[in-house]
Amino acid sequence: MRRPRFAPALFVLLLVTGSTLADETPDPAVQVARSGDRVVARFGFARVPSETTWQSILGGIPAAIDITARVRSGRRGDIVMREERYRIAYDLWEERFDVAWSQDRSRSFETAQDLRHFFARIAEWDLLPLRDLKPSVPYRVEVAMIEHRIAPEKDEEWGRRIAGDPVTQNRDREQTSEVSFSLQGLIRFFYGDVANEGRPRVVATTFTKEELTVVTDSP
Amino acid sequence: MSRIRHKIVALALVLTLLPAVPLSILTAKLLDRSARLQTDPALVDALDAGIEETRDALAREKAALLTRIEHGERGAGDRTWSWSAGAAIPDDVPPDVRTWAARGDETGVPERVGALLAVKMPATRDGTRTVHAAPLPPELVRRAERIAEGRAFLNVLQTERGRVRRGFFLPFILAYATLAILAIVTGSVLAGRLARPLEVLAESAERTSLGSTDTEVARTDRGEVGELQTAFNRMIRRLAAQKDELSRLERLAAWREIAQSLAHEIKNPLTPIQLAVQELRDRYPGNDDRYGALLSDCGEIVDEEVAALRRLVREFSEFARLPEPVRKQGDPAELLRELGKLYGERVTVAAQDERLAWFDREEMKRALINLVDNGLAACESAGCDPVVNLRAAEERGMLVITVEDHGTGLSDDKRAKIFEPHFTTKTDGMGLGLPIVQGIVYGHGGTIEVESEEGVGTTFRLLLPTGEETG
Repeated sequence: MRRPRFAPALFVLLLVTGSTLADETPDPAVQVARSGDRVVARFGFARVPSETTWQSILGGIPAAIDITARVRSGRRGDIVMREERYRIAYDLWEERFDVAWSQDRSRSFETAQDLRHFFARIAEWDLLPLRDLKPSVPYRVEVAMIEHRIAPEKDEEWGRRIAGDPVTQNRDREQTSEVSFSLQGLIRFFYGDVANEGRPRVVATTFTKEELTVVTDSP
Repeated sequence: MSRIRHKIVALALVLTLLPAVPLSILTAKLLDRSARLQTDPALVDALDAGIEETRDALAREKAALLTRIEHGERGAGDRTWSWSAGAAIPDDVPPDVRTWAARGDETGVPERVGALLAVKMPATRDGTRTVHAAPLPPELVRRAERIAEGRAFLNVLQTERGRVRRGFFLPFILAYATLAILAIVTGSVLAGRLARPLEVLAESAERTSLGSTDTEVARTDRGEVGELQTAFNRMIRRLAAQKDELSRLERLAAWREIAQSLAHEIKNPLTPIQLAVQELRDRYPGNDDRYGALLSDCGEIVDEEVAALRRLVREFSEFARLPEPVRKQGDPAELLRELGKLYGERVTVAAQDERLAWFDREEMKRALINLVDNGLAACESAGCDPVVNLRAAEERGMLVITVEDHGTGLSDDKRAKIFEPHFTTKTDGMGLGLPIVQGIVYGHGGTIEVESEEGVGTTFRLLLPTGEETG
């Protein structure tokens, strides 16, 4: 299936107007292109973070955005999967929003609009080498986004604090769903987690190797 | 009966769950109150004031850094890195400062980068870039982090109130549900333990009501239920004994009626028979010696048989008309000694003196003579010395008269039937002696026990109440 020719123009238009259209703005479609000998994806999500999360962030509670990109082939299933967690925190002293991802990458934003612009057009994601695509084979790329009103690791930490468990200092500790039969364990279990409050938002498109346009500028 | 079980289980459940409602309301209210205390506006205001204060402190640190840069001064720990246009950021720049320096504009405005204050100076004409950094006071950084953490946690308590409430409330519900299940299980077990014996008792009572006396139940409990089982068994045993007694009395009454009829029917023709034979003998003139001898022999035979029939009639009459005993206070030892004199060496007597009891002397003598005669006959049949031992003693408020012989003894089958009328082990008896003895003893309100072993002997124990009342 061929994409309409006006799709890139529509994409840019949506990015520009994303912040002003507020909650009525639909998520823009994902774009797949070739950058050198790599296949890259451009995508974004409108209204991220949501108003509820936004208020929570302003209260000093760190939030997280999980994004997962999958390239699928009808014959081979998932060819490649890449995922990223964006941690959003509000610096109460500098009064700025810090976004950190991929261990050592970070950005700071002065306003909510700037932050939403960032998520409305996330920079190109390198997906896979071009040579991995077969000619004339249809591929589907799906990008899913889940918003965590409270960053899972902080939610876990605070859940333990509320339950009366010793709070771990291990930042790398992953969120666990283990059930302890101590009172603290029960409280923690029933306190639950806020990890997946909403349904993941998914943007997707299909393409063939021949349809890929060449990226000349990076956002 | 399962209704009892259901009721006990339901009661246990109700007693467990009844407090759940007020406790749940109380717990929910306490949780709400606790949550309100945690997010008290005064506490929030204090934290916000702390944030403002640290912001001011940070602003002062920034101003001081700019002043030092402007005047070319260096504070303790101040660092400066410069690099040419196009060159890489120097290696000794800390990683977080390096990341920060790589992005954004050179605003000349200090920013907090971790525990440092850093400022990117605008590039010079030749493109040289400079970054100044100064350490923030550790106490300020620590305080700022703790205030930020506290403020965020407070916000979590506010925004996640529902989850907090759920986290505390559901364990309470879970614990209560566990208690309810335990109550049901315990109630069920207790109900089973209590209801099962009652069910067995009810079934036994039902069978008893249909006429069965083989309905005793096993004692399964030491408490009240066990006592009930024991009382029930006692009742069943008494019922069975009464039933046997009733049956025996019915049989006895029937036998007495028969005996009375037989005695009447036999007794009436005896005198005419005897008179007729007497008449034949008297009218004989005596002219034929042989006929005279025949007549005399026949007359003797008839007399003997008539006499035998008269004894039979007398026994039947006695059996049929056992009188009500006339009980008077007397010494049973004296009665035994009298029997001893009557029988001479054939009877030994062992009795405690002056143990007075209430009994019909004549009736009791008749009963004992019957037993002694039976004992002597048994001894003769066994071929041993014909001696019968008589004893009288008091046991647990009862007068116990023992008649013991070492004769042939009785088999179990015979022992079970000896009190049946017309049952006898003797060739010349009518089988009415022991039923008469039993009738006399029962007439005194007592009981009679028999111990016997074939080839060893037989012992009768007459248990009689000693008081005036027959019990």
